[in-house]
Amino acid sequence: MNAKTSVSLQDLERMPRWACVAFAARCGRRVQPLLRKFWANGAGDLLKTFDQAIFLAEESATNGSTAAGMEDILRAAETYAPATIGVPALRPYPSTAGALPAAQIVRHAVALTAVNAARAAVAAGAGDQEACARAAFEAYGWAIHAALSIQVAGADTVMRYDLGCLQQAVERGEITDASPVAPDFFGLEKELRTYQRELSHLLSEQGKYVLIQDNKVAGTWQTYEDALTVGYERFGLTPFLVKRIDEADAVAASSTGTV
Amino acid sequence: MPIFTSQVQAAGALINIKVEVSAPRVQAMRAAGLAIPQAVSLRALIDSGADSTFVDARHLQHLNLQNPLVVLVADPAGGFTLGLQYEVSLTLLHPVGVNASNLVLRMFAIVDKPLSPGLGFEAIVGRDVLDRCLFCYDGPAQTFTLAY
Repeated sequence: MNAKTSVSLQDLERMPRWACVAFAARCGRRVQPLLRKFWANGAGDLLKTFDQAIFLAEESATNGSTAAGMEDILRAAETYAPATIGVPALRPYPSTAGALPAAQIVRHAVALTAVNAARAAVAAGAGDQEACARAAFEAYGWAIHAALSIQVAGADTVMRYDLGCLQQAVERGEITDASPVAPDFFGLEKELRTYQRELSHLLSEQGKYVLIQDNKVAGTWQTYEDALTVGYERFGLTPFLVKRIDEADAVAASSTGTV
Repeated sequence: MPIFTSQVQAAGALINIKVEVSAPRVQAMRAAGLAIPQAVSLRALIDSGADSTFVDARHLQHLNLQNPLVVLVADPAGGFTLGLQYEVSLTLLHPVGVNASNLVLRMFAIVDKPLSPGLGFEAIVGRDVLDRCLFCYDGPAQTFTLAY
């Protein structure tokens, strides 16, 4: 976690607490698919615990109160996180210790992102803004670390953008300390979830471009240009999604993930 | 078929491009009575190793581009980049300065990539544009030719 990053702890300390939780959960969502990709044989219960930690952190931010079961999941995630790093193999004497494989680093970093998203939610519920900001900053740091450990650059730019959206809403007075912040706050999130939900049906038209607004698929077109033109004709300047239908998206567990 | 030949610069095969709000968005903005932001002129490196076109979005702030998608793309420097993808209109400017000679992509997806100011360019034109062109790099003559 030594990489130079563009989000500071002070940035998060200035944010309302549920916005901090939303940001921490968002960091978790960005890297969550990496856990399953790099821990394909991980125990289902452990994987579910980290998924649930991120989900309940989102739920908490959505409702402006710590979700039921959040503290139990946090304890479980804290307990299981060390397991993601694995047990060092016994090495014959006198061999030297080797570097940890990237797969172990990335899954540990993702697990700690989830743990810290959950910590942020619990701290926000207790009204402890300082601890909430600290946990959100840790979640961000571990998410960046997860991406960098597999040579994926740019995660910092994406998360800085997410935070910038929240900061602008705070400046406009749309988010205050008591305001809940749902995942839908982030642009096109609803549309991306619709895409994930409908992907199994859409795959028969793989390679085409799908047009989605809110939770409705408006149709598919052969080219990006055609779908975009129809999108503006139908929806004007209200947000809509144009996305190429791609089989690879079925692998991604999260609509906004990295793989 | 428009064609031009230019000298290779210290930074590589550089061309001038123009980035603006995509054509259908311009129509929607006009219909809503909104002012249309001015196009941005940038220097771009032609990079056949980049599978996408990258623009440093710090130069595009006044275009007020909205709702980017997050995409994972091959990085021209090797590895992968998680980037914000925006929809724009992209124009490759022909050196003769005649509009009809430009390559205009009225709806095009670019990826934000911070680029160091010292590089001498603010954008990277990748294979998603080159797929529509003929690009010839003449190393011994230190020239390149682009046709489209």
